[in-house]
Amino acid sequence: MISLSGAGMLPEWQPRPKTGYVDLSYWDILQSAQQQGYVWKGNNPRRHPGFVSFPYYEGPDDEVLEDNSIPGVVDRLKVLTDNHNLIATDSKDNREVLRDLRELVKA
Amino acid sequence: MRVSVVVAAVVLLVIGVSGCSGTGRGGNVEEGQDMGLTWQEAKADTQKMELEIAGLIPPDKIVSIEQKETGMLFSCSKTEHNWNGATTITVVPGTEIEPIVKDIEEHYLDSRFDIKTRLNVMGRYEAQLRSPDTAEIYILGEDFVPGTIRIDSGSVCFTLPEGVYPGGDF
Repeated sequence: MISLSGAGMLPEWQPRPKTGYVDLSYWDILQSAQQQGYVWKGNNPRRHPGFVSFPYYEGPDDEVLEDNSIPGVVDRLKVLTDNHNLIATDSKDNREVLRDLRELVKA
Repeated sequence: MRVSVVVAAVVLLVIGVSGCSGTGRGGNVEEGQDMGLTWQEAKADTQKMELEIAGLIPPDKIVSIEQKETGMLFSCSKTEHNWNGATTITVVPGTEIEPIVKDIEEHYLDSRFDIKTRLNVMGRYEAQLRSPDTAEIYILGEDFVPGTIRIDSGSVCFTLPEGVYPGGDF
């Protein structure tokens, strides 16, 4: 089972013993909120021991996220939102994810 | 930073977090990447380059080269696409693939491409030849079938003729 920047699971959810669980994500608006524990009370694919997580992919405009100024907050939110939307698209900018999905599905 | 987090939380409340509904066209969506080629021309250029890269593999290591006849389109923007194909090279059993990939990577140092390398999701070494100015890209590394090298390609962007549906084989 592959999670694409998945949000979270119900508290009673448990991984099946013979199923592999993977999360693929950019650093995005959801991941940012999850890191603070705001989403599904922290019961997220990225943080659940039943999931294998890989390093965050690099979004096409991630350099914007390095600007920590208050005026830059709007641009950062746009990039974080775009990154969240990107993970499930056929955009050329999502190529590494698509190539890795092919590997995971064929494995 | 705290401001970002608070605003992010507000935005999340607005968009909802239990079921994400993206636009289907995320990422870099600016227009104007069309290089003026037809999709057929972009495909032909890209396939030619796939074979140029494959041709850098020592001939005595090659069992076969198989170029896919068709590819698929990815989106460059809301109105533009690029063509994506692949060539698979089967090498002689026992051949180490990573040194071959690194030799090809070295060949393209100081070329028209930027080079990025990474370990893919399965931990296999991968080299990317990326045009700094267009969407053109070639990614090579060991495929999931042992003893094979796969070159994935992406062309420059183009605009499809009106009425052409971008799904299916191209």
